[in-house]
Amino acid sequence: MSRTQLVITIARSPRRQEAPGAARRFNIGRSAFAGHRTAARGMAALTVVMVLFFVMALVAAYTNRNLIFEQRISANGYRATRALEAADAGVEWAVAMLNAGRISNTCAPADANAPAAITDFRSRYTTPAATDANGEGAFDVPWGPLTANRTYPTCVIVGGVPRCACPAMGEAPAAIVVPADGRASAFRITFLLFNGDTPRGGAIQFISRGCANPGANDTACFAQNNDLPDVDSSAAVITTVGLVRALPVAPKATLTAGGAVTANLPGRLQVANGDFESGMAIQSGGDVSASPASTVAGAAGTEPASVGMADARLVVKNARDENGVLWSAGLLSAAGQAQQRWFRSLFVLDTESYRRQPAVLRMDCQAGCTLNDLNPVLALNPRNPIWVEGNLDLNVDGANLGSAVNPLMLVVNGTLTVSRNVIARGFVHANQIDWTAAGGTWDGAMVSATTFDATGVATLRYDKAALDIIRLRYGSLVRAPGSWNLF
Amino acid sequence: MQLHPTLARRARGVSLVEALVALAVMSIGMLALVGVQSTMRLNSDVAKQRSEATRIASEEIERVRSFVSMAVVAGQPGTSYDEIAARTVGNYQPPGGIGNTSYEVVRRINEPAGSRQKIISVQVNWTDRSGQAQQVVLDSAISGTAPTLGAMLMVPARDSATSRRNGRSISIPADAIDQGNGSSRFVPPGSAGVAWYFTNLTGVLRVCAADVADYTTCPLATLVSGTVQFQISDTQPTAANAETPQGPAFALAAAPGAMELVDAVGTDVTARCYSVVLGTRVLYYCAVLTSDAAGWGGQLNPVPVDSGGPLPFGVLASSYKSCRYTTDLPSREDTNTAAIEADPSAQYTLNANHPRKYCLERPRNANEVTVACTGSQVKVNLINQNFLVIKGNQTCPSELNDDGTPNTLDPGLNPLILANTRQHQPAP
Repeated sequence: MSRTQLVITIARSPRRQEAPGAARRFNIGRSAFAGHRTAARGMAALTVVMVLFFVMALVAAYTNRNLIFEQRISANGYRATRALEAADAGVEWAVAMLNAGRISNTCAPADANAPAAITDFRSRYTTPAATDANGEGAFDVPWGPLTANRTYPTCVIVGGVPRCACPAMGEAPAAIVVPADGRASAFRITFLLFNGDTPRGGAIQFISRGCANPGANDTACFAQNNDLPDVDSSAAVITTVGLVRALPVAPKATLTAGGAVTANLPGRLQVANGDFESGMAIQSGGDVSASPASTVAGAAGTEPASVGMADARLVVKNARDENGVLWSAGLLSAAGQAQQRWFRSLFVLDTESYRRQPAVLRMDCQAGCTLNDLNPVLALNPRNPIWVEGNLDLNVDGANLGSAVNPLMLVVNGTLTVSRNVIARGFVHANQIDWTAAGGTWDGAMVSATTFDATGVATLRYDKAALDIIRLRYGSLVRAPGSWNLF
Repeated sequence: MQLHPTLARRARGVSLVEALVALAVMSIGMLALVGVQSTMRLNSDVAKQRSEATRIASEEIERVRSFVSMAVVAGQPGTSYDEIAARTVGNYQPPGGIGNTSYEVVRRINEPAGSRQKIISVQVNWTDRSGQAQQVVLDSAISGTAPTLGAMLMVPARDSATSRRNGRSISIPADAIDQGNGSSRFVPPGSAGVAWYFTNLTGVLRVCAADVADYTTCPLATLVSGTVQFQISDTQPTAANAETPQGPAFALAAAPGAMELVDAVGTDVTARCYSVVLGTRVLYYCAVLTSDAAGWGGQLNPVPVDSGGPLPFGVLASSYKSCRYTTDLPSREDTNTAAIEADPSAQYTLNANHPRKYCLERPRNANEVTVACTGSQVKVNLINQNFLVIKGNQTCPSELNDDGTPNTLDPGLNPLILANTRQHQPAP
């Protein structure tokens, strides 16, 4: 059969059927061709073309479908990356906040005059565990197993600036204003309670859920619940952070000095250690010479408070290290390395690393600082170790430094002078300590890398409870290596 | 099938026109397709560029996140936290020539006050094929924590020079002689040839019957040491007397029975105790041996003697009472558990703080009342486990009120000492 014949054959078939659609096609054909036979033939070619075109269009559509998928992959990839970065941001933000001082309900530094109930981030979302069953210094969450009472610190990052809410338990969260176009990342932190399987004391676990956009209302990424947010994309990261202790091991003596301890008249020492576990008053790498009226006392019932510095159990002179080498010949010998070796033996870190820890507050006191400089820092950061670079003079009578709940932790890279009758509770390490005040008390422990010299009356008492708080609660919380994973 | 010849000829001519029309229709359709195609191409181009830009932005964040130190390291630019700052890189081309546009990478840094972190916002801008500006933005945060600090979590909190006495564990008696080989030898007073060897760093005690060259084969023990003081007078002792007892001292029973361990917890628990009288006080040293790896528990009582034998303990004036110096305060009893307290007249106290009975535990529920000791056995040396002996019709003195606050009314108190005693013998 020839091609022409085929055309005719096909063209005839619609006419016989006389379907309404077919008739319309013939009508169109008539405007172009004179006779209906020829029109029928033309329509055949066009139909074929249309069919071919339809097939082509299908092929093109399928191709485009693949292209559209690729675009979706790209857009989703972008959103997923945003969500993941937000989740990572949440972890880093939480680590930074856990090491920060007192904060307002918007997670900004608290007002200097804020009431004591305005606490820091760490106290807001963790509490000391009731027992040591899970290791010394374990943390719990304030709401315990009652997750209904849980509060969630959360942030929305708008144009690189975080807008946050840090509600304490039982407190309404601060309102977070979200841009109308919804262009912002968001994350929410969920603190978890270890269920009896705490890996070790000092560990805290939390989930950071990050979102590509903030969402709205109860399904928002920043809502105070643990539901899956209704947003373009979200990602969650679980992390364990652990405490790098600011004071790894508490000194056993009330007063420890790398060098000599002197209290010549009118100076006087009154040093006590009533702790049953330690009971040592003074340990000195040098000589201990004090005026006759000075007294030392150990744990109650040990013996009468002894006058003078003769008791070998309470007062250790010319102390030696574990190898039997005098401190002056070992730990504190080489001039350049002396401080580093001494410091490392106490804090396990070198001075530079210690100083740059996230929890450590730094005060620049090259020109010398006084209580006026220390007080505002201490008011906002009562539970942070404070590093004083330079000399510090405690120069206000009756000033209260530290408390039983929030003992003071000071590291003075210079000379600490107690020139007035302060009432301090906590731990201090200084390169040198001069006590010139006529009175004043220090409850806790004092450590001087070199000498301790009292020209006034220094009353020092060991406070195990305060030292335990510092040892188990103070320091930097950092990510435990390998502890974070995505889920 | 047969066709008329004219018809066949005309049909052939029309098929050309037909084909042309078909072509025209097809062309219009194709044009539309091409239009769609070009839009799709533009879009997929943008998609590719967006993926690439996302990768570049991620890379920018990861680059600053991988800092190795806090402070600037000489010779290693860009590896420290301090160097993380805002920057703009213009005309960035992805390596390998795979890209078809160039990007501008803008890194912005915001350091919020009060916490040590940097909020980082990376913007990648580019111009697409159609001349439109495109952008991806990633926000993140970087906390100022040195990466080495994480490793510190693996380092155990060990003892330091300040937590030892003269380089030795604080529990080792000050009179023990350092042998220079990491151990100290102590001869308990009143013993005949017995030698106790302490490991200097840990205070672990081994009890040998005599001086030996290799003490590591001697049995392990834990040390309990303290002072027994006396305030024997017809007047009720005051808090000041608890701080500074006046004597006179009685000696403790002959070694190794200076102290007596009763209600022992653990297997094969024996106490070998030695004492020496120093003025108004008696120093005692006990080595408690047990084959129980979990440790031991029990009540350790002083055995003062006079010429007639051991002093009787009781509540009459003719007998005696022993009081222990402790942190134990009855008023601090937890009211929820007081009813099921194993020992209602003794608060739960850590072993180191001198409980009535070592390994005394506060029961968590009624079922545990009869469980003597589940995990607080003595495993380390105990020091400063001190006693005061008074007359039997007197009460144990304390300078603490019932609520634990110091009693400041008592005159003559030394502000350096906080003496609190609880009745030890006879059982309260």
